[in-house]
Amino acid sequence: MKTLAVMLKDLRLVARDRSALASLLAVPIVVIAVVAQTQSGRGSKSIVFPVVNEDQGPVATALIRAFREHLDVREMTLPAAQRLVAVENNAPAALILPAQLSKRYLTSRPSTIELLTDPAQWKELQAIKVIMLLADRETASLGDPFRQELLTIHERSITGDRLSFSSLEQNIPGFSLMFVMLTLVFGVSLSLREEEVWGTASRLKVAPLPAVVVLGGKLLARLIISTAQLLVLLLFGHFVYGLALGRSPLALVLAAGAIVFSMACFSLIIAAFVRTREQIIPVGLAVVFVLAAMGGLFWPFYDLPKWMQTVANGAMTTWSMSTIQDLILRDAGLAQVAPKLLILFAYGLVCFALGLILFRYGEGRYS
Amino acid sequence: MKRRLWLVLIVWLGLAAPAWASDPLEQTRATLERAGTIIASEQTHNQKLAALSALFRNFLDTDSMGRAALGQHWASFTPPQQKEFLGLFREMLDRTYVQKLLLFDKPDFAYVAETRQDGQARVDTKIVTPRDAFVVVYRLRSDGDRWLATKITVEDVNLTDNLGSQLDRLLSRMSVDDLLDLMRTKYGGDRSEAAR
Repeated sequence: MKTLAVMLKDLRLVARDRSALASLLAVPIVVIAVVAQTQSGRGSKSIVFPVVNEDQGPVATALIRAFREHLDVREMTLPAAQRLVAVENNAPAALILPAQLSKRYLTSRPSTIELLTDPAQWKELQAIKVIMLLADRETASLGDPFRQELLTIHERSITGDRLSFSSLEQNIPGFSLMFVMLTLVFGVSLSLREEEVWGTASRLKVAPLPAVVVLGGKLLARLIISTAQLLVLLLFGHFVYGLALGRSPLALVLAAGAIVFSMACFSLIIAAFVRTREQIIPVGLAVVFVLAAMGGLFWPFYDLPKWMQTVANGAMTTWSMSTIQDLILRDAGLAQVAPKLLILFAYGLVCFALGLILFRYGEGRYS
Repeated sequence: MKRRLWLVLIVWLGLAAPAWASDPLEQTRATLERAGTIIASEQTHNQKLAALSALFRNFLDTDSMGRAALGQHWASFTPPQQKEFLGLFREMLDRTYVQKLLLFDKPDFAYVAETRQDGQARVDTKIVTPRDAFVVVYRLRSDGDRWLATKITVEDVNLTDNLGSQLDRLLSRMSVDDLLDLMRTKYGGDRSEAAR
């Protein structure tokens, strides 16, 4: 009977926190909906495949027609294709069909077609290679009787020295960033709300210290801890799984700092919205999972539908993952990633400013 | 049903082609124009291939091409092997010439010149694409009231010589039986299988 009374009391307590109660269902539903959307792309048809058609002959036309069955083929000039792959990173590879390809093919003379790649987009690149094999087979069936290798593909990375990557190089940085973000969101929110439980919040509220100093100091501590956490996780990946860490240790450290800065400041906004520990868990998890899914931490960014890629440009996880990939997969140096570091830094500053406006000590349930 | 009717019509036209041809150029023109119609039609790849093969069977002298491609090796084949080889060679030529024509969406054939000498003729043609032109030369021999192509040269590359050098290479490392086995595997089965 007493057990029943305790249970009823606890249920009343839970029922009193309507926001926490609602988030029990609403938050997982939102996460499931977002994750489902991230995986609802058009498959290989959403992969942009620039083709430089210098041949303009029947063989190039047949190849392009075969590619169009599976890919979003766009004919363009060589500089435009190089830009799309190497600068904008909006296509995993570009194909150059050389002049005279058709003449050589029709007279059974072999040709080399060049595939300019961005190996960082390894998953899409693998899909393209499989499709190219199919297209080659399809075209070969129209041609040589003993299936001579008339088309040789020369693959050249234009974003780094390496031609291929494994899924580990997606997963290790992705999961490292996700756990750092989890630590920050929970760490910042819980520590600030616990100040209210411990009673220090009311003292800090009346202390002759501006909020920027108090919150800034707290975030600075988190910044140091989480930057170290991220670097250690990447080093673990390096030494245990052979994860490449790029050519510039300084750029990697600065990138880790900028990424953690943006995430720590963003955590302050979350802390301002959640009032209780019960809210922190579902809201924190939802925010982390949604941002991780949208930012390409769980799967390659280019797997996302186009509209979601556009939306995801507003998430710091997208810029964080992109910066890490530039460093470790594309061998970028500090100069190349500097614009992205500035974006992350600016993102952090804006979040910090918003957090200062939104966060108030003593507004939680425990005060 | 509609497609079958198309196929029957095209095959019939193909078979009827020699009766209309008066000279090498005219016969080449009639054959190629019909080929163009087949290629541009709405049929499937295999239907087009079947129709083109039927059409060119009355234009290409695949037996003489096969003998020429084998060159000195012809004598080392027994008569049954020679007979089987010529049948398989016809299929092989389909792959090298007829199927390649299918790479062109809507081939635009141009007829450049006709020359005759000692019962032989040479017809110079072009396949014109928006960007380029592919020179195709046919050498023909008279066969009663029709002309048969004995040699096709695409962009100065003789198809028979090309196939001949491949056969020569294969026969330098395998026996006649093995070559026939290989050709049987590739071209002896169902056409749709071979086209894959």
